[in-house]
Amino acid sequence: MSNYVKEHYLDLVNLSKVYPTKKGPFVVLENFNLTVPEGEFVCLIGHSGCGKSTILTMVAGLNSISNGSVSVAGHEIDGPGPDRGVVFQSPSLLPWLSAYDNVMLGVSKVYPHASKKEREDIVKHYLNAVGLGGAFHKMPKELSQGMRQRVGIARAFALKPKMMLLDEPLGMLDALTKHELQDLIAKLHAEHKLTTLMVTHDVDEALYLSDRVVMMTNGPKAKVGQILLNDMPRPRERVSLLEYPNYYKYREQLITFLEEQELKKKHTAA
Amino acid sequence: MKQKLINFFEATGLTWFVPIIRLVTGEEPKEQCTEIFKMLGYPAIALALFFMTWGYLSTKIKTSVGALPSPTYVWSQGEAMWATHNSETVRKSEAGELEKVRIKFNTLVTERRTLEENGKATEPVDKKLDKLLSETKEKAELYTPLVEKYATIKEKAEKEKAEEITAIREKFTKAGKFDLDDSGKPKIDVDGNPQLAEEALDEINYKQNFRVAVYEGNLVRVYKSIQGSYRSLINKVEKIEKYTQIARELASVSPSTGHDKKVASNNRKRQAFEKQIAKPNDYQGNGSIVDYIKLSIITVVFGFFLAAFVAIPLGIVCGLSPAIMTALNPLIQTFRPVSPLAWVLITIQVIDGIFVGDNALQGDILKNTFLHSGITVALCSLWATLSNTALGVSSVDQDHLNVAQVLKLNWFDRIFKIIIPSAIPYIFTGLRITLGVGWMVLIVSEMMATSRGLGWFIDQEYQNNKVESLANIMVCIFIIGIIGAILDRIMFTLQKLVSFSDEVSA
Repeated sequence: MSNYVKEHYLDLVNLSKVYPTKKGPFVVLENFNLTVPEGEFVCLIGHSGCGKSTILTMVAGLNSISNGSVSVAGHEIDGPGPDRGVVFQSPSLLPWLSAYDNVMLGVSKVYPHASKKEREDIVKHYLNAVGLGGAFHKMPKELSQGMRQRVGIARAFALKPKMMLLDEPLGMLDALTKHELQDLIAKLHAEHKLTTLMVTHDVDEALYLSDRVVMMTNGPKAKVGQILLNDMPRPRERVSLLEYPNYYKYREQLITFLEEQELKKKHTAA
Repeated sequence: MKQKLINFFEATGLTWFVPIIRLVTGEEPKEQCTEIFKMLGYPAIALALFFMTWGYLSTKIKTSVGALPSPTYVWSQGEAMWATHNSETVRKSEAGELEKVRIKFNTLVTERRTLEENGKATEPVDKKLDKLLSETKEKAELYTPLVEKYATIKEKAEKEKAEEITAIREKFTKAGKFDLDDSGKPKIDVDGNPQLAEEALDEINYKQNFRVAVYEGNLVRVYKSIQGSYRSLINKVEKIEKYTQIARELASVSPSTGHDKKVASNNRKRQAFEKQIAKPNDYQGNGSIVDYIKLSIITVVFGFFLAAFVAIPLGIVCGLSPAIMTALNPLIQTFRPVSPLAWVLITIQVIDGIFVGDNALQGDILKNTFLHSGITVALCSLWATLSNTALGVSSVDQDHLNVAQVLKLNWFDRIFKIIIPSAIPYIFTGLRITLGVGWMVLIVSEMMATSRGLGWFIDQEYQNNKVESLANIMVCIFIIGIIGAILDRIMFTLQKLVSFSDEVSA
């Protein structure tokens, strides 16, 4: 892989999203540019409605691109595909399949030539990795929200994607479960070094997980407001993080930005 | 074990069993008792009120055939139906025995014929025939004490009933309740006695209507007719024996004039009787309430599966393609509200046109009339499954479709791994409605199609035009209702099993 591709592993160039409405076109996003080098963990943060989820779904291929381009590992994307693992806000497991079968559905699609035994091993490996060793054959309705999201994460990782797209994956969870899953995501990222784009509106989550935090201005026509280079050393631990000299500075920068945007929003509304 | 039982009752929606189980296992007895009272006590009160109202109304409402049957009378008619079912079962088994004996006779007679024709000795067969004949004679006579026994019981019950009626008559005569004419004198009845007042006649009629010793009375008839059939069989066999004997005698004497003629005429007679015992006797049952129930259930299940077979694939196609849905919608909307009374007539004509004359279906169950009612059930009930399936298929969760997109599932996998499974709860909701509608529609289609199920039976009873028939119809109404409720429970349980959440409306 050339150095250029490594440096521009995920490349969003002049990305735009326009929804036609009765009152004329509604521009959610205009000329959005972002480059993520291989292995980097980037968090997109911003107020709701700023279009951060739109970006993510466009990268996933689930949302059409109005203008501009998205390329992953040097190839422009064309629709959705298993090369980009997606974890949605709701676990969106298929409720008629067990945890095991939910993961297996993707695995048998991505490894069509693997033997039955090999596939089984892959599924078991990833379910074990997310801490669901004992719940292979539980149905989604028998699992807690947190456990369902673990299955969702296992399903995404088991596809051996080139990159990970996390769309507020922990948004619906309670604080404790959230922490557990943040640890899980950090662990998996450390192991697999997958390029990751994560949408969140949790400042602490962004600081704990990311290498870079991209702050987005309010929509419509949202753009990159500021970028925070999060150089806190890995592996990170929740407690020692607080002792890191720049932690509060970073946190303040993020919160100040979000507050400013909030004020602007009110101002525009008034 | 306990938890399993509780789970079972919760899954089937029979939640009122749960506190009973908890109580038996000694879990918070006080709370469980309150719970049981709530779940069983309230319905019990409602039922009691219902029966009281019914009982009261039955004394007040006059129907065209007499007083409205009271709950106790309807119950007694239910028992009478059950008694008839039991006596029919006896008749069936006795007729089966009789048929076996006939076959034995026939086999022996044919065997002897073959031996004779081959010029072999017939003694062993003769002996066997003799033995069987004497055994059968004994058997036929065994019915006489049985008939007497049951006739006595029946007579005794009839006598008691007559006495009770006389007692009522006397009570009213003593009280001087007579039907008075204009001059205030009691009218005189045809039998020369003064005519009792209407309330007295009502009470007498009420008593009169109760059937007593139904089972025993039926058995008397059954045993008498079976005995008659045995005797007629014995008679035929004896005739065969007689002519066989004559044939042998004729064979032993030296031929004279007219000998050949005698032999031929004797042989003709013998053959005529042999033919008679060779003919199988079809048991022609009168049918009983259990037979009607069985046929009705089989018909509704047939109609249900037919409806599902048509509606589910069509619903899936409609759900997948808005164009097809739009195309078919006017037809669906037009046909859905059509009454079973209209459908059944068309079904009858079409089916009778296809299976006509010698091609008419003659199976035990699969008759033309069975198809008439079964197809009508399907035609009226398939719509719920059709529209529910279409709805389920067209409203698949976007999240699930996203999964399919991310995994790049092909068309086939998308439909069979994502869309159809996710529509299954909707499909089962539709199927539950379909079965409910089907059962409701079945009764009227059986009436029109003369398929011998509950609907046909109700119609027959209606034609009888008696208070008794009215009570029988009421029994059927309860049977229909209870079976309908059970079918719905079954579908509810299935619906709950396939649903992804725990919320299913009972």
